[in-house]
Amino acid sequence: MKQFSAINTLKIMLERPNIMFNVIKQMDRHNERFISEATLALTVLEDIKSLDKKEQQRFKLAFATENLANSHIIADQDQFDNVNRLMFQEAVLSIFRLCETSLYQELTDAKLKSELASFWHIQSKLKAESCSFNILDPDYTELVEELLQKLGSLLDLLKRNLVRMQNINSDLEQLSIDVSKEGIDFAEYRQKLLDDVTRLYERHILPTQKFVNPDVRLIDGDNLLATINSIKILFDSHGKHELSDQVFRYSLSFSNIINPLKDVSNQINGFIRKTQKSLTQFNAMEWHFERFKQKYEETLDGRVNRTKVDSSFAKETQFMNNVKRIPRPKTLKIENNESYFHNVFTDLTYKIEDQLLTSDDVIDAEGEALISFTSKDRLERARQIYQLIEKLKLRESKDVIATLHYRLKDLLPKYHFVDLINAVVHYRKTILDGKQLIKTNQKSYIHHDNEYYVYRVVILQEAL
Amino acid sequence: MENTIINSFEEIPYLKSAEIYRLFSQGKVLNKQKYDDVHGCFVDDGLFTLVFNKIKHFTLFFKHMGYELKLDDEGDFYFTQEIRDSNNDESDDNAMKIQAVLLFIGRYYAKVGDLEQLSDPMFGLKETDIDALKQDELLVSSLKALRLDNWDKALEYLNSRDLIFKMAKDRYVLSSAAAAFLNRLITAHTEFINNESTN
Repeated sequence: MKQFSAINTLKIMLERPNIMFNVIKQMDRHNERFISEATLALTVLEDIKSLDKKEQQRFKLAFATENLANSHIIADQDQFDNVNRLMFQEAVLSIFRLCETSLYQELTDAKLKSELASFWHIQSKLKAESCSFNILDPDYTELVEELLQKLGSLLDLLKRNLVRMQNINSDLEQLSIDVSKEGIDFAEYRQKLLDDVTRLYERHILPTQKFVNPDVRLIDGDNLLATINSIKILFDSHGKHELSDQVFRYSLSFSNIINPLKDVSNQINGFIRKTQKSLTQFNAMEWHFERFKQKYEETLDGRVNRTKVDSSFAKETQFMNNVKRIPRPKTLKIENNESYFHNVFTDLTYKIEDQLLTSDDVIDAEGEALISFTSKDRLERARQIYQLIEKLKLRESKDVIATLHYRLKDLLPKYHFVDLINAVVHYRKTILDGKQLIKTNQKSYIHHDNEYYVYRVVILQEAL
Repeated sequence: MENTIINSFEEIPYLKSAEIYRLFSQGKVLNKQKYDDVHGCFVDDGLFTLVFNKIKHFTLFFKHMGYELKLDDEGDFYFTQEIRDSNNDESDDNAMKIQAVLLFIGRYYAKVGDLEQLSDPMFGLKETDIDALKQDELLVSSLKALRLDNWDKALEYLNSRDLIFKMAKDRYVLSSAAAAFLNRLITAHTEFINNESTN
């Protein structure tokens, strides 16, 4: 059977992240580290059922137990009650938790205590007489390594937990969603709500808040910041200033977490005091904000040029739709600077030259040529336009076709649009006179003899 | 017939009429009440009263200019829409910016107080509120995705359309139009919840 490498298996898993999101949710719900092979297969099939056969096959292969095992995506398998159960690598689960904040595991009191205990362990080892503080001593270097690794992973854990808590508003909205229902007994409902919120607060927010609070006293040892600080002092006293500096910076980051946490608990405090009316308002705002957030998150997809929120959000509520400013006529811009006057004067010079050209009878009254329209006459007129165009001087222009149109219109008797085409073609082929033409993708139109002619704008500029 | 039409124009002071036209041409709404700087409270807007009393005239007038004059009776304000049903990106973007920024303000305020206070000059949106909004990084990047550079620009945008009034530096109060929008959001949510529970 076809197998994928670890990186390709992961890529495929990330293509449809909902599969793993659901798997993680199921495991979290049962508080288990294992998922049965059958449940996984079912989740996969459910998610890919709308795909075409070939695509389905790709996902089935990637999620096949053999493939997962060979690419080390799963760490272990076991048999339990005749059910084959899979245990995913913690690192793989972490990736998916990172992509979906609601999957973060909340830090419980127990988890935090065990983290703190490991710092106490390191602290006591560093304080012991036997600790050498010598980089040549492998016991010491391993201890330092363990300390830094612990500090890093704890900070990461707290930060992720913080992100989770900052989304508390949507949790509160979910808890209190029924408040907008008709015929609800608010007093009774409020009691239930208070219980739920208190549980949320005591189980998940209070422990973390206590954990990073520098003023908390614990029975069995120093609090986190005091522990870290004592370690810093130990390094200082042994002249390990670089290490002490690193530890100090970690302690700063830990104490910085307390402020956003205070905001979170303030929000909960405010929430508890809400009346039925303001609770309704709160929920409505959160609900609509989630709607907006979905639109906003669409701009975070892989496409680089997609940075603007789609405006379909606004159409769902009748307010200020189709309202815009009324455009006002633009004023004629006359400026007082050299290049403006230069352009005015070259235009005037060219106009005079144009007049001299026609008064020299360069072009005869060739109107009949157009009306009779025999090929011979047409050629003759074209030839004369060529001669004329070779004598015309054109200045740099942002739309050379329009310039030519207005110049020829005045110059040629019975001017016709065909003349302009002839002129442009000839101009492009022959006389560029140190200038270059740049064709753009912009379209513009000329209105002549009740007809509209659309053309691509061509810029004339000095050749570089 | 001819006479009555001429009369309806003669009945209206042209300066006021021009002012009303200018206001709508800037994309503003005409609220029943505007904030009065001197007294620090809301007072009736004479222009609104004029339009209200001469609604036939003004409806026709704007119709001839290619716009439909509409009254939003929940929010007591007039606004104009282009009659030509153009699928216009500019006006879509306008509505999006306005609705989103008002939602951000409402969402923030619903956490700390009662939304009705937003349109009460005694309270309104204060400097500390604006600071808190500026701190929220999700909102700041959302503003960018709406093509509004920052909170100052966003508030200026609402202010230029008379959806909020500036009371002092970093103090704003919502017009009845803006308050009507927030109420509409609440109604929509209540309907959604109740429809869902009956289904």
